[in-house]
Amino acid sequence: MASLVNWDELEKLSQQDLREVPEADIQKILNALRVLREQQAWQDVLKLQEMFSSMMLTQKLTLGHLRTLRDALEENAIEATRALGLKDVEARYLHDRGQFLHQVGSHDKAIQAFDRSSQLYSELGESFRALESYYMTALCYRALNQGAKAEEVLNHVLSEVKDNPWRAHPLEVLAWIELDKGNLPEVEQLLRESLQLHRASNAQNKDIMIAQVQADLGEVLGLMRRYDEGTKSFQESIELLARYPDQYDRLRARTIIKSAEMLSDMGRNAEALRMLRDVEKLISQYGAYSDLLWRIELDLARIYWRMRDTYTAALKLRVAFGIRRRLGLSNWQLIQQQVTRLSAGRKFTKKHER
Amino acid sequence: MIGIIEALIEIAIKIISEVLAKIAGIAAERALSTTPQETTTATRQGAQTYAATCGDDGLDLKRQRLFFSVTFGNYFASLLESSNTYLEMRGQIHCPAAGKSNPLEWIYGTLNDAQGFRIIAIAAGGGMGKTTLAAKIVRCLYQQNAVDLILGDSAKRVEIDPATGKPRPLQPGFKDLDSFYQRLAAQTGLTDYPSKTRWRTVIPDLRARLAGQRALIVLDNLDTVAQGSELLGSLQELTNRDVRILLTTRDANISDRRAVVVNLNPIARGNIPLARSFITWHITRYQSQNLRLADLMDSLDDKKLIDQLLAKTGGVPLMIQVVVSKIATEKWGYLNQLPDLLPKELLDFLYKERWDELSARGEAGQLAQDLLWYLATIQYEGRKITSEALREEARLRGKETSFSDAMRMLGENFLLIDREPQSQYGNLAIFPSLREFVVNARRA
Repeated sequence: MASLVNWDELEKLSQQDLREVPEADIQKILNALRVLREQQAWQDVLKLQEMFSSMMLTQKLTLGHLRTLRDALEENAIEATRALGLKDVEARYLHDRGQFLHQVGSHDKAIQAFDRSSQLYSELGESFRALESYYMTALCYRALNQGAKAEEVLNHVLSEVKDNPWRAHPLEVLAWIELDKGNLPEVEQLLRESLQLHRASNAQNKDIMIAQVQADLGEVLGLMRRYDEGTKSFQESIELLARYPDQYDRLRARTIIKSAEMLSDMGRNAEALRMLRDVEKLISQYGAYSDLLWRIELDLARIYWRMRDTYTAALKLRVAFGIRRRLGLSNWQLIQQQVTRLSAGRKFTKKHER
Repeated sequence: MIGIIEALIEIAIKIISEVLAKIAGIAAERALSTTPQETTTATRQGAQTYAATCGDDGLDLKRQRLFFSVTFGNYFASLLESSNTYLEMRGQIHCPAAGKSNPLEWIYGTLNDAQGFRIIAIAAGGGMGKTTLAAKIVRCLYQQNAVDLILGDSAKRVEIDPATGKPRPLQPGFKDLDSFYQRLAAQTGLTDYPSKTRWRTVIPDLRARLAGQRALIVLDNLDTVAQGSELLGSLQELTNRDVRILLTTRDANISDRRAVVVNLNPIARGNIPLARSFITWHITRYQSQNLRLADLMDSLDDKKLIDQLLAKTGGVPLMIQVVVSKIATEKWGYLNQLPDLLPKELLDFLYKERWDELSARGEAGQLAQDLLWYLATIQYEGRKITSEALREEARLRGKETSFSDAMRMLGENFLLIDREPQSQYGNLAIFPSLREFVVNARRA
């Protein structure tokens, strides 16, 4: 039987850097996918997804036609696994899809993907994987400013992994929630515990996890005006990420954004401004990361305000609010969160000055 | 109840942020309301500018290539990566606003000046080098870190599909102002707009997003956009001290006090030294493809021949290049065979003449036609075309033995642009005018 699509051509495309592939070729992949789907050639849909998945994952492509391709490949692959009754693969694909949706700010859709993934893993008896997917919903709830719901998920997850070093992950997210409440000493304690667990673990991505926690620790130390310690944390985070050039740029961007926030608090606004501009360039090469972008715009508003450029500050605030509104996130809750953090920082400093 | 209160607070926040942004916009506009014309001289003296050679080197877009190719399409992106694509010729750039300054340096200066002109329109007929000049300006500003963001679109993305003669749905570019502004917004990271969002809603967002950043919005071939004048009018709302527009068009009918139109002149009859330097540049750049070009160097001292060349080609750079390549094989007597036609008609005549000549040159000539067709089609898709890809195409057609002859004929008769001359197999392309001709010839 003749093949429905030109696999040789697709194979060649899969070996190329998709960032350099013209739109017309991306369209060929999409056309092939459409044909396979119409014919319900589900195995072939999965073959196509596997062919391009590593490229899509490593490069974190979210721009224009590449975003379209990624969405189409992933959504069709999930449908294919369902049609074929491949629960384990469906669960894995849903987990990966959830992570991507969370990264690009579609937290509601991400929750649906993680919930379904967790449910499938449970049915297969893979309790730890089920827990991992369930844990990921906490990140989404927190991003949606549903701190109580996130906390509930995390407490459940932590109760399930009492002796597992993996608990460093939920501990870190719990710290973020405490940060939203303004409980700075608790945040520091949770992050240090998480850091200790990561340092003791043998996980492959240990460096990356330490880099992430150090960035959070740097942030909270900055709020407590312990700038020297904060600088050290940011420094370690940057140094660890520097070991992986061309990878983890989103994480690198996150560290730099937090570090710029601290610099601005220290009055080094020009430096902070420059860093935020560099971060924008860093993330723009992959496409649109709305969740990082609104934060950058919010920080820019703060910096311009401090630099007494109220006009630009107002414009930047407008952009940050607009992005969040389009993502379905509450701006009122953002304001509450920011006020809580600032007042917590001030209270802490006053208390320790006395 | 809490939900309703929160929703009301959200609406209040939206209104407050809109009002704040509006006040900010008005205040900033008032502060900078001085027209460029009023301050042109001061601007030129005070603004940071760059040497006219700035932008000659190709950009190494590296990981930014995705952004640029998505923004402008592969055609313009590859122009940004190419070196030495534009030869600055004294008197070619006609820009009265520049006064006695070097016009290119003046353009760099005014784009860098908070009180400079906000729109630079490069206007000229086909083959004058509008796009290559625009690419050089972009390269310079990017290399000098004079801009933080380069945005835009190339209307070439909405050309007719050479294979079918119909608009190609794969690379839609933008179909109206709404989709144009959504594309522009997406280039700055602003996404997730509902599909029915009107462009008037997006413009204030874009203004706010670009605030504090130096941005250059590039629009190539504005004249080919159906709503070109409306688009230009709307873009003016985006410009300010930091946000500038660079556009190319065949239609110079732009009247805005903040816009300056830069015309590209053909090489004037009698300007032998300039023509000579242009031909020398052409020979140096293309002699690797057409070895006989080097033989012309000795005859460049003959003023009469050069003047005759200018008369026949109207001094249009692309036309001169095409004719000179032919002279390299046919000798200067070829000029006498050329009819006296307007530049566009002359270009069609030249292409047809060569196409017919290939038809008469057996298998190699036929293969050369096939390869041109292949280039015209594949180049449209924005794919890299190496000499090895062409050889493979010849092999598939069972004409590999004629490949060398066919390539020689192409080099001698047509201008093949090699965007990566330093690489082993190059990255070949043909001018858009030749591509159009090849498509029409094949269809006929």
